[in-house]
Amino acid sequence: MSETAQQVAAAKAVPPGDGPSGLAGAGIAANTVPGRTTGGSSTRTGIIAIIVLLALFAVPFVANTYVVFVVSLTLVYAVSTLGFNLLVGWSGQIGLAHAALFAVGAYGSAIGVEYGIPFLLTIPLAGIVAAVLALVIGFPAIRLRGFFLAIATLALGMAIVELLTMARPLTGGGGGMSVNVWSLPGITTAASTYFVVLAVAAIMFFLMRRALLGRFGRTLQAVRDLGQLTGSLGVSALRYRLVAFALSGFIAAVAGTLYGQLQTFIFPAMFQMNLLVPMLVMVFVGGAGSMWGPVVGAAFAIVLIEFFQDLGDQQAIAYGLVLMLAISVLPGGLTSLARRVGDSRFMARLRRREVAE
Amino acid sequence: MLQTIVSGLESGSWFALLGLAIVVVMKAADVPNFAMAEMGLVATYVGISLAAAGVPFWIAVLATLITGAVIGVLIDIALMRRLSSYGHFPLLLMTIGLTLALNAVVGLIWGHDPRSFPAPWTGAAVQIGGGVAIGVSQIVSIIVGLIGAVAITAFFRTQVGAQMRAVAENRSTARLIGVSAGRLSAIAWAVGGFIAAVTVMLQAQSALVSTLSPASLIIYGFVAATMGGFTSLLGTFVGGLALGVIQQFVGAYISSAVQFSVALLVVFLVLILRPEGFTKGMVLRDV
Amino acid sequence: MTTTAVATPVVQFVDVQKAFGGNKVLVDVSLDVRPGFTGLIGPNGAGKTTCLNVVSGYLQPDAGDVRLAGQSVLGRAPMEVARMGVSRTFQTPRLIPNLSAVENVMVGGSRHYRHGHLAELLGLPSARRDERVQRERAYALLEELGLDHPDRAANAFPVGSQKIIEVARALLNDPVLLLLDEPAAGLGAEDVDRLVNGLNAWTARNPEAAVMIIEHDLELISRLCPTAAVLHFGRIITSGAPKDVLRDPVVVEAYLGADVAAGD
Repeated sequence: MSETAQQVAAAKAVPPGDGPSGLAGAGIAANTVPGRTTGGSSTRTGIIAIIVLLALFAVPFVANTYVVFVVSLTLVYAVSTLGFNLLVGWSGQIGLAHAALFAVGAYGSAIGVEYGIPFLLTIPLAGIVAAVLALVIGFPAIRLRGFFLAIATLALGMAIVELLTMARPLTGGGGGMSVNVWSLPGITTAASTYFVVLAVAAIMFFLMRRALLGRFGRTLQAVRDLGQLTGSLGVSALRYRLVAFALSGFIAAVAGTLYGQLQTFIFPAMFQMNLLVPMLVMVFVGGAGSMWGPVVGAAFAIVLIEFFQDLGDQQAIAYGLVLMLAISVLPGGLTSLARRVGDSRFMARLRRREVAE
Repeated sequence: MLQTIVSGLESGSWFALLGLAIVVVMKAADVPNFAMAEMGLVATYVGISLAAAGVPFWIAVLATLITGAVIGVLIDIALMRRLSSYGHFPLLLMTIGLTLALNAVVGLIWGHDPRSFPAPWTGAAVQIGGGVAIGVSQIVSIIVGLIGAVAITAFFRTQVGAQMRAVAENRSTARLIGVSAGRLSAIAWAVGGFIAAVTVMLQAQSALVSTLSPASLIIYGFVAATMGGFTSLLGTFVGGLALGVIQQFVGAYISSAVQFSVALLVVFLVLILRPEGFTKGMVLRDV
Repeated sequence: MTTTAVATPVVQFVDVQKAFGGNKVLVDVSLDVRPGFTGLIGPNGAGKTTCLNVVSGYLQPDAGDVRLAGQSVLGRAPMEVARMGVSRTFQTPRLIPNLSAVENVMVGGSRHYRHGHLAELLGLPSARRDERVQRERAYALLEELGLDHPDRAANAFPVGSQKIIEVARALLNDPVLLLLDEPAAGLGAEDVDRLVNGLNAWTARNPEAAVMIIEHDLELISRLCPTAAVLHFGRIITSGAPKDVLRDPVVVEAYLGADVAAGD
């Protein structure tokens, strides 16, 4: 009791402006992969990454078109979730315009290609457009926190999708538009798209891993957990919040360009709540704030979607129930389970060592 | 013109009521409940089934309201409460999962055809000169909306309501002075579910509801709640009514296709210009 | 100017006033803080933390001025003040729970990173060097302050050790003014010794820097600070050498009176 009283007293003494942001970030922090500490584990990660890449590279040569498509889609979602998780997990801001920015990527690339821009060039271009848009969407982050920010960004995201519907001459309106699929000469379109997806995913994960496990990721987490108090560390919380928005928008759009290539036909209704909800699930299942969680989350969502496809009318209820069950059982996400196990094993080993000494 | 205003006030009352339900739960339990309209839909469908089975109208209404409140309490106890220590993200996601599940349950049990909850006055109209007729169901919606707003305001003046405000102000301090946050959140969820049931029932006695209707209702409810800054009851109520009237005018004079965009624009403007809701600084600074 | 120079003040409080509502928290506070340690003591609610918040930019005074090396800090955001060389700790330690202790300390090194995030993203050698240098400095500071297991996650440490980590984080920026808000609360006697040794070692290397300490552990104040100021109801009632100050009947009365009133 007296401890709690002390804490409350202490909390009161904290300067103003801290309260809401501190609360908003507090719970999200659940589980982050600790940064590398030794060169050895870094080398090992590199070797594992190369093996995984080689295995993924071989997929089109050994698997049928359907499997290639599913793996492509998983990678696209993994990239998208990487960006979403950067915003929600690492910077602690529940921004809900991700599906719309994903749509900006898909549409931006498709329209750009129609106007003669090479497809590969549209990937970064659409990313930059979305990053600027995301900055505008993140602008309320200057004043809003937590759920208020969620509502504001949700509304802005919906507005973007509405705009896509209205811009009929460019986008084909609600009816949608077909996407020119880019392909490498000499191999099937599916394999070609797959290799583009794989290359982009590898680059994005490589770069984001470097940024998130380094100073950038550390500072983002400081902003998430300390809020305005990062000021006294010489860090502008606001700047990092906005950069997180821009970067996550960029990544969303990059993933979106690839999504368009995979779907070959896009329409605004694809990018509404029906996409945002699985995106949230992917972040959640992967564990907000984890490094490799996005891959786990994307794979989980794909399996779920593919599995429930045959259930027809009952798909939604199954989806909702699985989601509710997952949150109830593992509020920290699926990857928190692995961490929990790892932690306990680590603790056990530690205890053993102390006894031995 | 007058007809447009009355229609606007009618749908505005639904938005306002749902917005109030959202605010009540937000205040006490700190959750933006995306499943609010679905909760009302389930309750209303229970009432519709009872009425169809020959249960007298008022008893079916009572059953609907009780169902709404019970669903609220069950959701709080079974799902939400244990998540509150994990922060905002799981809570938000849980209400979304709940939305999907409840909507699908309704579809599974009752199907996807639109239904109505006919009241004894459904279809009746009052002539008010100039050839303008106003539906009795419209008047009922507006009056019930007003009563609801007054009742919730009064509720927050009771001791329980005051405690709820204390919790909303500062969770840890409230716990220290011996307020049971669990009991309060159960009450808030019950009140929220009750109002949600009223809302969808009002909608169903005047128009048709289906598994598709909650999607737009919940968004307009959130718009109303946003206009009250998620705390002000007055702001939410007035905001909901204003939104309803704006929607009707946009639909009548511009195009019903842009109604949704206009609502989004309203949210955006309110959040940019007055993030605390547009009643901030006005006389009734939150009941 | 031939007299032996008394070190010029690092921070000057000039008639600082601050009220919350009608509640006067600081009344005409004037204080010169010179290099080395200065204690700020007084009963609970005397306005000590408010003083720190005013210097570090979290609160703007209603009247008066606060000057850091002659420059006013008023109207500056906490980040700007931090960049001017003011570091601080908080009463309850504010760390990033799931980062390791050493990485928490590295967050405090903003003034020392020469490279931008783009260089980091591209993996440029200069960025890697920066990172390595800061990591080594962070390890060294934690070792100096006597913290074991610097690679363990911050939330695995008891509150006392978290305070040590926070002190190290504040030191990494090489502040000209270090503000410590009850650094010894929750620390065991051994940890207090390590903290004192670490701080002494640091000030020996940085003789120009000033350290302001708020502390209830008056023994710690006596050990570290050549001067201490006593705040009571927002006024500085006396200042001087700790052993004299603590014998001052006004101070004794202030402490006893407040303790009786607060009942602790």
